[in-house]
Amino acid sequence: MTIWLFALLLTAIACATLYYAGAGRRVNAAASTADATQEHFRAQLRAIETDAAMGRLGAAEAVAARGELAREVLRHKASDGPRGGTRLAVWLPVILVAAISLATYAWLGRPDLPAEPLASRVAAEGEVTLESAIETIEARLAQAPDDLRGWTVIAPAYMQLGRYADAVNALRKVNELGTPTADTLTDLAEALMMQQGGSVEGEPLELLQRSHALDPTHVRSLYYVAGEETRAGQYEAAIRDWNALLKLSKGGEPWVVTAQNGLAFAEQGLNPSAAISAEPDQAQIDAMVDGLAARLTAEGGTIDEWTQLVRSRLVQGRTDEAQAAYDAARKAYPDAAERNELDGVAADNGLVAR
Amino acid sequence: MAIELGHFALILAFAIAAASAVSGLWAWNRSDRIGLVLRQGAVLQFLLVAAAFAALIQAFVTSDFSLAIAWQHSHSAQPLLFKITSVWGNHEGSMVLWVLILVAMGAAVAMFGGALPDELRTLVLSIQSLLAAAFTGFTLFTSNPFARLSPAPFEGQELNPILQDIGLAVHPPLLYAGYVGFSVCFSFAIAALISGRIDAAWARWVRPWTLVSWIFLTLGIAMGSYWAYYELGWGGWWFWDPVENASFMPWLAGTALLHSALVMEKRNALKIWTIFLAIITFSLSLLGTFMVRSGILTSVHTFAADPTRGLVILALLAALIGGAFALFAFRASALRQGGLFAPISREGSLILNNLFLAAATAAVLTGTLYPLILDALTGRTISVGEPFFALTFGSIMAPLLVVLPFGPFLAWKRGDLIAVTQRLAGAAGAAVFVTILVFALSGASISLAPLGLLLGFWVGFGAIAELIDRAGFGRMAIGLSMRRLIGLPRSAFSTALAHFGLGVTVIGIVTATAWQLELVTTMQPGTSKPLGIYSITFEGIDERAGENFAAETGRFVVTAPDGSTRRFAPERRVYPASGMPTTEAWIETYGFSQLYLQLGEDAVDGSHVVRAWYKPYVTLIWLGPLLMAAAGMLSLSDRRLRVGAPRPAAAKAAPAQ
Repeated sequence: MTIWLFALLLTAIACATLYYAGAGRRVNAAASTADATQEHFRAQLRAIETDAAMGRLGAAEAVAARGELAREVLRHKASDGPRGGTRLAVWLPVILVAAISLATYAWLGRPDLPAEPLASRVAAEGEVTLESAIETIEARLAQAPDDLRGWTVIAPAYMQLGRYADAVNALRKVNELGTPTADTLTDLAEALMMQQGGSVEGEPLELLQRSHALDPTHVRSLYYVAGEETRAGQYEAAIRDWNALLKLSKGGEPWVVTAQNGLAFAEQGLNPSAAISAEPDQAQIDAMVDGLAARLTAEGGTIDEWTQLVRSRLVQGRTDEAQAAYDAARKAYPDAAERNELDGVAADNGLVAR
Repeated sequence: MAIELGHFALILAFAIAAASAVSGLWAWNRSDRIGLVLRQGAVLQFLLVAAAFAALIQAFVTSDFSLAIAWQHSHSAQPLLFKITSVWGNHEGSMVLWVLILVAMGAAVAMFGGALPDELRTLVLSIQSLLAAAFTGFTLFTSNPFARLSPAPFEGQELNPILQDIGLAVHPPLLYAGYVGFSVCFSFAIAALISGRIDAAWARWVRPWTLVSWIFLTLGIAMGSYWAYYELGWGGWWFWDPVENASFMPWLAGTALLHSALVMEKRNALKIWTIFLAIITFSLSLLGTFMVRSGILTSVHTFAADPTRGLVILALLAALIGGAFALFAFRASALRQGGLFAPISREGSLILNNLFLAAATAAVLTGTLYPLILDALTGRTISVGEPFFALTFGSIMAPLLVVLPFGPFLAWKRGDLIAVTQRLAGAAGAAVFVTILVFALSGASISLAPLGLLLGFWVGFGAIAELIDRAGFGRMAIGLSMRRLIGLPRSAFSTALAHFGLGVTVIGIVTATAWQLELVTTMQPGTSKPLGIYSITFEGIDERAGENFAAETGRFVVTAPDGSTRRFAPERRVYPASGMPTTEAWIETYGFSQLYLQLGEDAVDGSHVVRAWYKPYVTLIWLGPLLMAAAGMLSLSDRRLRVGAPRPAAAKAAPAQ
């Protein structure tokens, strides 16, 4: 309770100075009053003399002014100011000051509360939620809508919170204000895909193709482009792109399995023997998906692999197993922020989060 | 920690003020020690309230939103200056500023009042302490600026964007210094009533205090008027708004007090009237402060929404003002009357001035309070606006302006009106001539303008005529007159300057009102429109980001008749933290006249609404008060004792040659 120590100290100092002011050397009050008054009359007389000497006052006027002053002096009786008198006049204020101040502070004060300047609030990292950080950045962006860095920072936060429309808007700004790169174009495409419920059709695809054209070795755009070609049945292009993608792999990336599966799927599609039914060999696909499921269950895997498994099960029409895979994935990745895509897929296909 | 220390400092100041008031009023004639205790106490009060104020500033500057008022009225993105001014941009903080100035005045009496008689000083300090205790107590118990929040919110709500202006740094401190300065006159008046004595020292002290407060109030009102003119964006400079009236009434009463204190200092007369005016003036200051502070003005319902605060205000006003007048009623007869004088004399003319000013104050008070009272009693809302004030206030002030130049010419005690009239004939002739000249040059119109202008010039030339007459120009050699002019006391110059300033203001009001040009139009970028002799070209709109706002800035070029061009950049701003828009007018001064440009809303077709005013000689309105304030300072710098020598009776009886 340091504040109380300071309060007591301050009160003590105030009371002491008040007490010693009154209890110390006594000024002769009556004499000083008389002096001041007499001095005032003398000054007035001097002023009249000066004015008369300088010609500001005529002789007759000066006489009249002096006469008035004389009457005033006669009328003035030096008053007898109080002498000595009660000591209580010194003690009373001192006691009152101590009593009133400490009692009032005990009533009104909040000695328990520390100071919380902005600097300390910012430093207290735990206090800063994603929402409050976004609000701060938004306020800044509202004043400076041309702040590229602000938009770049805020876009992933919007994605994380699932505010896809805001994310799309932010990423459009990023691409308008800065030179679009493969990364920024793909980010925008991803945000649009999320907004469209996972579909690549339309603008996202165009953006991905632009991104791919800008940088043919850009992994994410290549991945999406190849996937879409596979889905659309453009198997030659798909095979070329899946192969290009696999060449970029250093091994162990989460997308490698999907790429291999996609490549296999596309080769199946191109295979003349399968062309009779125009359907890929169902047994082969089933075997591949089962293999993936077995591996993930046994060894675990990336969230993208889990998502791929759930998707595959849904494509197979084996909803129960898709649900099982989804449950397992949720167990493996409890943080909802990481499961954005997976949860989207699940929700679109009627899987239950339990 | 700093906040709580500041809180304790304010509480300790409250305790010292309360203790000083109680023991001072009890012991002023019982002990010769109490005076020293009170002087020490007054200085301590000032130091402690200053510390509390510093703690508030510190909390605002560091955006410590655990302080509730900092959270309500500040934002971390505000520029430093506006973080500081936010301290008094709200009810609680402005009360602390009010109290700070009050205790500063008390400390000044304690430190520089050595020559005052002990009893008088003790009583004055007791009353000052009583006021300090009342207002510090009101602040602490009903609107505590040190209320805390826990945990502190991350970001604050911001200061009202209209207040985010340099004006907030200047206007309230000046105005409060004026309001609160009159508290010293009030304390002196009450001290005189309690002790039953007014001696020579009393008079010597009251006039400078009145003068200082009056200077601050004059500057504060002028500054506030100019701020409203450039910030509110519709080019008006006085609206007869209750808040403005609240500051204008103490000014009128204070002006009356100033003149009667003059009589008192020089002639030892009008004592009781001066005391009455001192009480009235400070009462009006209190009324003004609290009409603004209580929220009664925006709506009577705010008053009801915070019944504690409103009731405490009413009780404080009733106790202080009622107590003062009760004391006046009981004790005034015990005071000795001053010297006698004839009706036609300098004293008589100053009484006439006082009567006119008092009547004008009453008119403004009626116009301000009547709607409030009617609303409170019957629930009917009426608004009393400019027509009422123009009629009542104008018709009272016009005769005052007519007789004003006579005052300084009259002799003390008994004067000669006919001789004065002859000596003023020159000034009257000059006023008529210049008025006709101005009208001939500007094209005559049928209105009250010529009359107003005539009054303005009459007051201005009358003031100069007094100097010329006292120097004796035309009656003696030029060299001698020059020497006499230079030898005139500074008080003669200050009188002339102040009256001249009033004339200047009147001329400014008349010209800016009668010959103002207004243009409200929509403009496409690249087009031009004429306004009188000026041509306004709209080039386009820029967007820019300020420290805590976003702005649309208009690019305008104005071409004057002589071909010179000036750039105008009026703005529309949006403050995102509060979502509030403001408009920032752009003003350029040509000589004494001003061109005022305001950017309005966007229209559908991409054009913009533009409002423009040409205000001839509008700056004279504020130049006048500046001259008056300068005159006040000049008079203050003249510490010579003033002797108002009476005109001897014998001189009048002597036969004319």
